[in-house]
Amino acid sequence: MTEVAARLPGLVKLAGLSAQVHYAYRVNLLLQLVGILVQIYLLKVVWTTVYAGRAEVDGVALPVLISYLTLANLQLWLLETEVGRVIHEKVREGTIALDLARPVGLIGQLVWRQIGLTAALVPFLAVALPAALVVGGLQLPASPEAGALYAVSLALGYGVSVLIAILLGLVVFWTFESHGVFAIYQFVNRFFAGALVPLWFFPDQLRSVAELLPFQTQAYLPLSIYVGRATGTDALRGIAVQAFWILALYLLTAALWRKAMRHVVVQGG
Amino acid sequence: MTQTASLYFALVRAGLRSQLQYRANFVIWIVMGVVFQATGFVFLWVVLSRFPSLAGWSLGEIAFLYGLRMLAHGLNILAFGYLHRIEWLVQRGELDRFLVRPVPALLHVIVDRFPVGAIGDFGGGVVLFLAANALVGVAWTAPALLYLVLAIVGGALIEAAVKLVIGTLCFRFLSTRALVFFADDVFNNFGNYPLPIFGPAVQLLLTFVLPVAFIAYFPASVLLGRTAELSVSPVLAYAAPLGGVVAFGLAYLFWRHELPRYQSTGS
Repeated sequence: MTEVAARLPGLVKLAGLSAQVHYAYRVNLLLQLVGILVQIYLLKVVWTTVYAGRAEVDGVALPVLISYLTLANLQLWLLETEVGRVIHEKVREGTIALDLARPVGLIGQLVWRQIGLTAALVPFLAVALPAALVVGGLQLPASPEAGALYAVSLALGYGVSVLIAILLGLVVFWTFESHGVFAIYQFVNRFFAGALVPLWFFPDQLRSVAELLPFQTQAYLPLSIYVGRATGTDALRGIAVQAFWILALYLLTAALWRKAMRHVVVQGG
Repeated sequence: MTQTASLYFALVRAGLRSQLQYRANFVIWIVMGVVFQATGFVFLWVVLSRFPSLAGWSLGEIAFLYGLRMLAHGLNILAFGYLHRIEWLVQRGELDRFLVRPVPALLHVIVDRFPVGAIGDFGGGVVLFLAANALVGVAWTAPALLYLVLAIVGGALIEAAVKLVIGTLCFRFLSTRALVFFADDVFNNFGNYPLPIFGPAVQLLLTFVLPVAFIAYFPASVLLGRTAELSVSPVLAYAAPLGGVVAFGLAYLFWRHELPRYQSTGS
């Protein structure tokens, strides 16, 4: 533990540096944001059309649904990770040899780097939230407890997102190619996270599949809490499911990491 | 003309061969094309499994419209490649290489990289369109079939025209990436829906500013016999394929007009 404490300043510094990298690409970030806003607008229009004037469907009022979808898409943008691509580049270019020689383990470096990147996104919310309010719609959490539990659930969702990114990044040690893999992951994640259709509107069979996958931790579980659809034990059960995924993915990542270290081929040089 | 055509096919074949060097990558990009389009459609499928229709369009009709747009989109990229790469070529001064060759520069831009992902888009479009067709029961007379083929080509030309215009703007404004992303977003998101759901103002924009309506919505309305609900004259819908030819013609003239403005920026 003291060892970690001793290294903490260095890790925070690393996070700060990677945040600066993100700022260098702020035009890119704003572009991504425009894409998200278009998506939110489209979802609002489509759902408003299918509701066709009904006050609520399956106990969900339209403004609640729109608020869910608006936040879901903003949230996926915030939870997006770069570390998978970072591993990819390091392996491709051979610079991973340097990183492996550093005092902090590579996984630790990557996690802190991602934290820095995400922190750099937070100020953009000052633009994103008002804009999303206009093209979509936002409501306050269903209750103060819902708001607090949502914050916990969002943090756990972030953990799952980072772990999946590292896991996908490690695949590069075997395939040396992963750009397409990341893109496919993004599309599949968006759908099964419930960012287009909340899982409660899924047909039964598809819903059972979605509930077995880790992607629901990215939007559906936190936002069901936020809008007050999952309360009490339901909310806690959702959080437990997220905790389970963090543990499972962590063990898988650690196992794959040990294998990758025996397999590492340094390219270039 | 025939010489240019044979050069085009020779260069496309060469591009395809170079992409085939990386087999795994090749397959992954095709899968990506399919998955990207599939998530958009599965969304509509799930929504319409819970709700009866989207603005009066059944699941089959929506799939028909979606499939039609995927076919036009896939054909556009297969035939015209990644036109947004003009920006990249201009910024690096790579266009220099193309200007000193006897083949028209635009042809080089088009065949510069074989668009592997588009195989997935187009293939997915074929599958979705055939499945949708079984649900909607269009009477496929010879004129209807001809109109279908022309509409797909016309739709591909519209998308190519918009991308070529944006690419050409690079000669004046070095970076047009924002516009490319925005246009792509609009095509991919709005092109697959019956436009009335967006209300009159947006519908007007999607017809006359970014002509998304001409790609699939107008042709699908004609083939499905839904022209009565159009907010413009049905004649415009029937003439949609012609719109593609006109749009691409204008875009090409714009490219020719602006090409002399190109200043090599590479080092």
